Amino acid sequence: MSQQSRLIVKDLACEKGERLLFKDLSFAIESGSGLIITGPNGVGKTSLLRILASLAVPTAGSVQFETMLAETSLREQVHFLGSRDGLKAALTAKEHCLDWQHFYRQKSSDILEQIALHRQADVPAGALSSGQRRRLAFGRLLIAPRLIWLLDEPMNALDSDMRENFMAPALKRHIAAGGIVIASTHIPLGVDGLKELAFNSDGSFQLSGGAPR
Amino acid sequence: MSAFMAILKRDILIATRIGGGAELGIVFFLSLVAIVPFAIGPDQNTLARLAPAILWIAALLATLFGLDRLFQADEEDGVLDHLLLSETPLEIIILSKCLAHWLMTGLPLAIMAPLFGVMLNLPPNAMLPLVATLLVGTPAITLIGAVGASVTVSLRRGGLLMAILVLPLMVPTLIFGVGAAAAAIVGPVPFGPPFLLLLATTLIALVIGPVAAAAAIRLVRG
Repeated sequence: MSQQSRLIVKDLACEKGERLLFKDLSFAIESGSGLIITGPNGVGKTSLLRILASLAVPTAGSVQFETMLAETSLREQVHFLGSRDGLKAALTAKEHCLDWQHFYRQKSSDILEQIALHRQADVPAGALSSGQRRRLAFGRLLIAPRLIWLLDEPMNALDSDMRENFMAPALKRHIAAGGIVIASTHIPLGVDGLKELAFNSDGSFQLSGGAPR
Repeated sequence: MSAFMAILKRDILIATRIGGGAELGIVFFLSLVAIVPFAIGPDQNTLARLAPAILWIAALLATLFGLDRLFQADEEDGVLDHLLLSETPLEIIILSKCLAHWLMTGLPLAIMAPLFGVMLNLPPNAMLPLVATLLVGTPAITLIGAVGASVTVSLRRGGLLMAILVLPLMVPTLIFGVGAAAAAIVGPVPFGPPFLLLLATTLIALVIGPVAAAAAIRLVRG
């Protein structure tokens, strides 16, 4: 992941129903950096993340992925963690991890310790608390290494201890390893040197920050 | 392990865990077969003559039952997003999900069918042909149904709409399936030709089904 890669967004516009959420949005994010997206509910933060993940088509504009990595595409290099956490209520934490290892063709590694769920290994996801579900869902990102993490409210449902000692270090490690983190959030991530895209309720936005680390 | 095997394993595990898979399909099949003699009457000859058709319609409905959840469950919990963001082509993923669905519904139905055939006075010499037609024909029902399931993936109550969309497409399978099974009892058509045509419809569904379903999901989700 050390090679330079860039995610370039050009003149992006997004309409939902008849309503224009935002337009003329352009920015670029290099590997080893991050962007947080802030703003009131309904301004299009999640829509933007879904467009970046190529899960939704923008009304106008384009998302380009420049990379030195051989034979890859944006689709294969993004992790999207949305409000729907991608967990099966009937499967246990351990079964989820095994399933992801198989699906992403990764070697077995015990990440249940890392996400602090080793004591809940045999509890079905449906019986976990929302914070525990959030951590389990995040485990997928740790199992399969991918360059770009697109996170929709990653701090939601986590207690302050887990925010400081689990999520923030994980995000820092990913950026330090040359990854890209793009997160919409209402809660400070506790990671320095991130760019910020702040939406206003009228659809305008300011792009700021990116202090050199 | 490949993504194909991973999805197959996951779907079978979930189906056995939450129920509503194999057991419920068979119970539904049984109740359909059990209720028909009440409508037609107890005349043994009539029942024997209609048995292949009744068993086939029951198998069709029992396979269709729950097929609308094939992609909808993954859509609701966000798993479909992750499946779309994978190296593995969506067509392969859909094929894997169809295989898991068939192993949990179509296959048990075909195996249990002779038992329910007894209830309809199905002649013993027709048991094997019936099982053969169901084994060959039910995969087509799953594969064609997958196309309907992908069109209605984002609809909350898409089950009935899905059935309306796909039932006309299943007519060839039904005609050749019942034709081949009945040929063993009433004749005069031999078993071979309709059975081979049934096989052909399944092979067509195997090729077109996953491709069409993947296209529909991309269109609906795009």
